[in-house]
Amino acid sequence: MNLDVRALGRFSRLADEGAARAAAALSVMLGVESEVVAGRVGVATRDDVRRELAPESHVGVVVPFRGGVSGNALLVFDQPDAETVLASLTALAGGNDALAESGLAELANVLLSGFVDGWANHLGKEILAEPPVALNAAAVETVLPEPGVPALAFRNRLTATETGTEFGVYLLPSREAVETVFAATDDEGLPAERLLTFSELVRDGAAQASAHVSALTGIETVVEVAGLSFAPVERVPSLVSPDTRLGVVLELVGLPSGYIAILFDEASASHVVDALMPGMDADADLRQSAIMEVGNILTSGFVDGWANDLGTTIDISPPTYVHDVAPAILEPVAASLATTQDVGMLVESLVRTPSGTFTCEIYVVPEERGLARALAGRGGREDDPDLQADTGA
Amino acid sequence: VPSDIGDLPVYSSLPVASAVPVVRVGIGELAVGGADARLKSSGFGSCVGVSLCDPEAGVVGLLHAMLPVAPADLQADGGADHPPARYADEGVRALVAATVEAGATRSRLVAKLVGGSRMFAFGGTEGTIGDRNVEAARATLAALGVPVVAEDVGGAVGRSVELTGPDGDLTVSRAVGEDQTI
Repeated sequence: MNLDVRALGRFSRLADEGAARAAAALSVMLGVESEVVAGRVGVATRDDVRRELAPESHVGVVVPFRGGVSGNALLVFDQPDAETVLASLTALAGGNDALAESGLAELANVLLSGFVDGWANHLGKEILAEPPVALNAAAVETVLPEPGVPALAFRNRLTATETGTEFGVYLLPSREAVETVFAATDDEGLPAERLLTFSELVRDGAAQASAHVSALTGIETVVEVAGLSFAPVERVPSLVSPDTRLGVVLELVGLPSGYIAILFDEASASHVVDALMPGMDADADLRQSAIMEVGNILTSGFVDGWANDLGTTIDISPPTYVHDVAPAILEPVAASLATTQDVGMLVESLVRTPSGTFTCEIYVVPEERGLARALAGRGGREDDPDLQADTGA
Repeated sequence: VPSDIGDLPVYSSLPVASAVPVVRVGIGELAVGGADARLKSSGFGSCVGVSLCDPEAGVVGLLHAMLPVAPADLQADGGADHPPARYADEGVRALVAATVEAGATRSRLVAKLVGGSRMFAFGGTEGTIGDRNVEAARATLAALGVPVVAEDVGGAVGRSVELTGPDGDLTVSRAVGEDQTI
């Protein structure tokens, strides 16, 4: 099945609107001011969803829905956040625990209906929500995608401003819904099965980056996140950390074209420089060139694997040094792609120490049509007369 | 922007608390507010931010636009794939219309501009998109007769802003450097 990328963008935008409605509902119901973190949709496997929902460390509510579109909507909290929310519900319910528990179900109904209603309105079809059930191991089994079938996962998050409590919202359309709503009707789409393979490539690239970082710095790192998400192109910069980062941006030219950003937090960048130039009192220029060199090494490790696997050529530009808040760094990247595509893709990898004292984020924003062609096996450079026009180089 | 929660079910078991008027304006979005409004937008790199204010009416509005000029077929899909606020020209028109709808008088509107940085450039692909964003916003404001009274644009720095009513004070913070109110 080929996925209709524009439909992914539209439903992702609807989910963001649902998140805004959910934030308004939170402030009405709980008096909690919350911030909406831009949502994303990704291709997920059964194992991905099971790992993410991990019922042993999460508390939540599942609201199955059916009708015009079927699937499951989930409101999910980390264990400590769930306790915070239950405590405030208990306070609101005058200390009545049973009322607080039913308050949680009501909260889930209200927050999740904001998402599902947006889809129903868009499709002009009725969607019925079933009674909410608690998220436990048995409930997780009922929402998992079928084995071997690429599923879609819409992920949104609200963060309570004062307490930092995170409200995770997952929308998992059924296989039938994916096939009716998100399947491309022409051959322009992205092959879903190949996207899963590509996700594995991303994980391999991240593992290699982690190994490189460890070898260069002597700091043992692990791959924390590695995946591929879709969002309306202008939202792509909002998907990354809001904090100050230091690193490099490089342009990719080939199949796919696009950009790669290798970003360190400031302390981690200092670790890298000190490890590369031990005992030296490096000035700003030297530190900058050390970071650029590491950026080069990590980029080629990441991108060469893709080119090999996809059978394409990807040329890498010299690195540009950047030091700013990460979304501002990604803005011109998204803007340059936004002239030709409405939906952006973000390939993200987070390499860090288990304690989080060292982090390196790697973001690739590929040009959509080039990636589609590469994934569909239409990426051979030599038999591709359109390549020059398509890369925009 | 959460503006309509009228159709939410009302639960008698839970007391209703008051909403807090802080609104985040994402990229490709705009928002308007009244005298007590606080509109925030962050991570301006090459994007341009446009704030509007009619201090007499106490109406403010903020736009965070990514590209200078909307494509000709903008309305073909009803804005589903190309939201007008993604573009500086269509976004400014929509922002002026939204502030007037919220009670502002167009002839009293004043504008401030922020953002439009040149974060980096590769082989002309990014070029001066920041400059072009600022120029498009400025040209559209001029065409609509809205004067630009302050700006903090250009350079190679990311910015975040908070716009407050009723006077349209725009506080600009940078990843590196001091906050300033323009």
